[in-house]
Amino acid sequence: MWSFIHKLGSPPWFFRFSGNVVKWLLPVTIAVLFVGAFWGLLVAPPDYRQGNSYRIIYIHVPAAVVSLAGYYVMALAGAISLIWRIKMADIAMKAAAPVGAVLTGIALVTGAIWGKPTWGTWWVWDARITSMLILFFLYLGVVALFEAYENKAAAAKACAVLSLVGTVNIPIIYKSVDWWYSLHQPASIKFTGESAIDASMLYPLLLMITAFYGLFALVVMMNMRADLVWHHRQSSWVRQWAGFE
Amino acid sequence: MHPLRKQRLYGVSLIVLLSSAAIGLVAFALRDNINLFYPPSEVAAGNAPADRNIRLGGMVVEGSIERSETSLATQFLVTDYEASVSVRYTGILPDLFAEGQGVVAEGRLNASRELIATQILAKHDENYMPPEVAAALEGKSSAPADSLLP
Amino acid sequence: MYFDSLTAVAHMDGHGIYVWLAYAITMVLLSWLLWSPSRELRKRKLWIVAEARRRAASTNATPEAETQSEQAMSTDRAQMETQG
Repeated sequence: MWSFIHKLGSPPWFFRFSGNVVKWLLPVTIAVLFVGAFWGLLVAPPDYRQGNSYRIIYIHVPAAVVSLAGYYVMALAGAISLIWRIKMADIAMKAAAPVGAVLTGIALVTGAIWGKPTWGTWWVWDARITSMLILFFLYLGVVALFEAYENKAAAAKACAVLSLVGTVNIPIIYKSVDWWYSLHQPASIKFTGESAIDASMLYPLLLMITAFYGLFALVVMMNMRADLVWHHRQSSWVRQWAGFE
Repeated sequence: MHPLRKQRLYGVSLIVLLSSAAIGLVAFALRDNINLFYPPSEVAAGNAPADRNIRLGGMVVEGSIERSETSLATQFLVTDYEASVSVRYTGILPDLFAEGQGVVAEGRLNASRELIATQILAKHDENYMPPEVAAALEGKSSAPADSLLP
Repeated sequence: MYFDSLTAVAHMDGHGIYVWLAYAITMVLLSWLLWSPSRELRKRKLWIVAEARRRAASTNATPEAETQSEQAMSTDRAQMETQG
């Protein structure tokens, strides 16, 4: 276990390992994504109240769930970077931020599109939606902060602090619909007890959540790989990979 | 653990704790503004301001919807099962607006504490099921969906 | 299969425009997420190969040529960084 974590910090080892993971995770994720979307869009029954507009749930909920989980991944990388000063943690943090921003953006946009036919409005400043917008800005803030610094070590430090400060937003987003009166309804998938969504609609949703987790891992690794070869472009292992030496 | 790293670990924990405490306090101070709407019992108790726009949220009382025969004017009661407030609205209602379902109405209270709404939003619950399942449940019991109000 | 015709799939009882718009936007964004790092990696590999060739060529050259190629390399790198 510890030796595996140590190896993760080694650029050439991680580059080789992630190359193998990407090779099989890419086709598997795309396949699960298409099966889940097909099931949710065309096979699952319509909802008794919302009709077919509820089918947006199959992208809205997975994007939102993974954008929250992804924030913890980014903040954890930030904490590791601050405490142990491991370069690989900086690279992971930098790789996760744009993916989280895009997923949060998808959750917000699909939520707006879904809100129009069901609630009667694209947007409302309720606690859930506003805290998701803050999450979007936190991700964008980390992306922008990395670009703003000339010195990469200073950039990583500032980004790590920003992402750690933002972690409090995650439980707020999660519990916002229980703590305050909001237009957004509470969670349908429950960790304890029976879910409020019928099994015939739940299975494709779980499939899509799995696919979005896979996609997050995949894109973060791909971003890290692109970053790694650039950081180590003078190293023999990169030149070897490129077909030299 | 190396003493320097231990020190940094405390630093990281301090950042998370202090920022959480700060934001938690701000949220607590602003809790009335974070609520999107007032429940009918708060409005009935006189806790909602009468001089500016407010939002009222609750369930549309069964059998309370009265539609005008000549215009788009509608009147209905909104309840949280403790108190109810009458709402008047002229305009097109969202598709999901129905008796026994959640609603958020935005507008101003008049002298007789009725809400003159300028916008009606439908609020739905977290239950998703196929129409057949809903029909089967309907046959068994007609319990109100009370989960809309926390 | 819930729908019985392609028009029903497109229309979705009046909600088709919302559902398909949401899925289309998502598909574009997810494709971009997957495509952009692979393009970046490919671009950088080309750069590394080109640079290694240049270096191999300059080992036989005079010290003056060496500094010139170093300069060429650093401008290349600056360009690369602004593009990336």
